[in-house]
Amino acid sequence: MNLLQISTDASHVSTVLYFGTLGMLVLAIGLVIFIVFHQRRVIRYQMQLQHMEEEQQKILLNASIRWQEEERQRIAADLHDDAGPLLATARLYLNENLVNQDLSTQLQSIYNAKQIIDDTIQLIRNISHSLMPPTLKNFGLESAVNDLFQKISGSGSINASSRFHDYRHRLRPEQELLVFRVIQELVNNILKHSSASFIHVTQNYSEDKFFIRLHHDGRGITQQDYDRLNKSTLGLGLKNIQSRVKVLHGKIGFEKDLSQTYYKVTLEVPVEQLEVVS
Amino acid sequence: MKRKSNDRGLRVIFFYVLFCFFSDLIFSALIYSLHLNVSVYLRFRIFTIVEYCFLAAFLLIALKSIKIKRIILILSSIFVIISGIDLFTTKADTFDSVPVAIEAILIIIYCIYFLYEQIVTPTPKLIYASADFWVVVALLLYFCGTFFLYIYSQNYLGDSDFNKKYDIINSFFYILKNLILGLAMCVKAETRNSSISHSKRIEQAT
Repeated sequence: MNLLQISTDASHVSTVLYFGTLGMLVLAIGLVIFIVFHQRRVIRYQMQLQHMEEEQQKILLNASIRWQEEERQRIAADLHDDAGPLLATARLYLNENLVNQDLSTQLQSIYNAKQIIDDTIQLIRNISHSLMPPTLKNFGLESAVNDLFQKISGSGSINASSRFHDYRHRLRPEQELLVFRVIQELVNNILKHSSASFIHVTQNYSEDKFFIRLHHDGRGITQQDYDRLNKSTLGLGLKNIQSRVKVLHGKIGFEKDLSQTYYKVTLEVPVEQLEVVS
Repeated sequence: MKRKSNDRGLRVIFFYVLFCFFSDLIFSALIYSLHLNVSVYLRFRIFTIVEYCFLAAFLLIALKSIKIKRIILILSSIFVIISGIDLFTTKADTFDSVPVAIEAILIIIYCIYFLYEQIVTPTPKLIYASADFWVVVALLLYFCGTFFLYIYSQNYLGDSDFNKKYDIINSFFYILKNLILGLAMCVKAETRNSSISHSKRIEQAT
C-alpha cells in the first residue's frame, strides 16, 4: 500500500515537473518570439512613417521651390513689362534731339519724363512692398493685417475685419513675416475660391502660444481636405502654408464651425519668452 | 555611453560564466585547503546568492529606468536577507528551494521588464542584434526551465529517479543557457567588428 502511494506520488511529481517545465518553456519562448515580431513590426511601421515624412518633405520642398520660381517670374514680369517700357519712354523724352528743340517743348518733355520716372518709382515701390510690406516691418503684424483688410474691404465686394486681443508683445520679425504670409495666402484662397461675404481674423495668446483664428462664411476646406491636398501635387498655396507653419514649429487646423455656417482656420505658434520682442 | 554599459554588462556575464564553470573547483579547493566539513547543499546556497548578485548586476546595467533600478536594488537587498535567514535557519543538508524559487521569479520579472523596455523604447536597431537581448533570453529560458525542478528539489533530491530527472533537465538548461550566452558574446563581437569596419570605411572615404 505504502509502495503504491510512493509510486503514485512520484508519477505525480514527474507529471507536474515535465508539464510545468514545458509550460514555462513554451511561455518564455512565446514571449521572446512575440517581442521579436512585435519589434520588427514596429520598426517596419516606423520606416514607413519615415518614408512618408520624407515624401511629404520632398513635396513641400518642391512646392517651395516652385513658389520661389513663380515669385521671381512675377517680379521679372513686373520689371520687364511695366518698369522697362516706362523707363524706355522716359528715355525717349530725354533724347539727344531735346537740346535742338524750343524751350517750351524741352520743358514739356522734361515734365513728361519726370512724371514717368515718378510712376516708375511708385511701381518699384509697389513691387518692393509686395515682397516685404513696410507696415509689417515698421508697425507689426496687427497694423499689417489691418492694412491688408482695409484694402480688401475698400473693394466693396467682401467685408474683412480683424481684432487682435492680446498683442502687447510682437513676435520676432521673421515669425511675423511668416504668420503674415500665411494669413495672406489664406485670404487669397478665400477671395479666389470661397465666395465668402466676410472674413474675420482674431488673435490671442494662451499658455505661451500665439493663436490666429480666421472665420469666413464661404466654401471652405476641412482638415481632411487639407491633408489630402497637401499629399497631392495640387494646391501649391496650401503647401506653402504647410512649409511656413513647419518653419514656425506651429500647427494649423481647418474645420467647419459647430453651427455648420462658418469655416474656421486656426494657426497656433509656440512662443518662448526669449522669442518675444517687446 | 551605451556601448560602454553594454561592455560592462557582458563583462559581468563573462565573470558569471567563469564563476559557474569554476565554482565546483573553487569550493572544493576551499573546503580541501581549509579542511572544512561542508555539505554540497551549503555550496548550492552560496552559489544561489552569488549567482543572483551577478545577474542582478547585469540587469541593473542593461535596464534604463532609474526607478526600476532602485526597485531592483531594494528587492535584491530583501533577497539577500531572505537567503541569509534561510541559510542559517533551515537544515544544511537540504536543497535551498525557497531562495532559488525567489531568485528565479525575480530574474524572470526583471527579464520580462527588460523586454518590455525594448518594446516601448523606439529604436531602429533590431532587438536580436543586441547582445543584452540574447543574455536575457538565456536567463529567461534557464530560469523558466529549471523553476519547477528546483522547487521539487528540496523534497525529492536524493531520490534516485528524481536525481536522474534533475541531472537531465538541469544539464539541458545549463548547456542551453551557456550556448545562448556564447551566442550573445558572438553578437557582441560581430557588432564591434562591423562598427570598426564602418569607422575604417569612413576614415578611408575622408
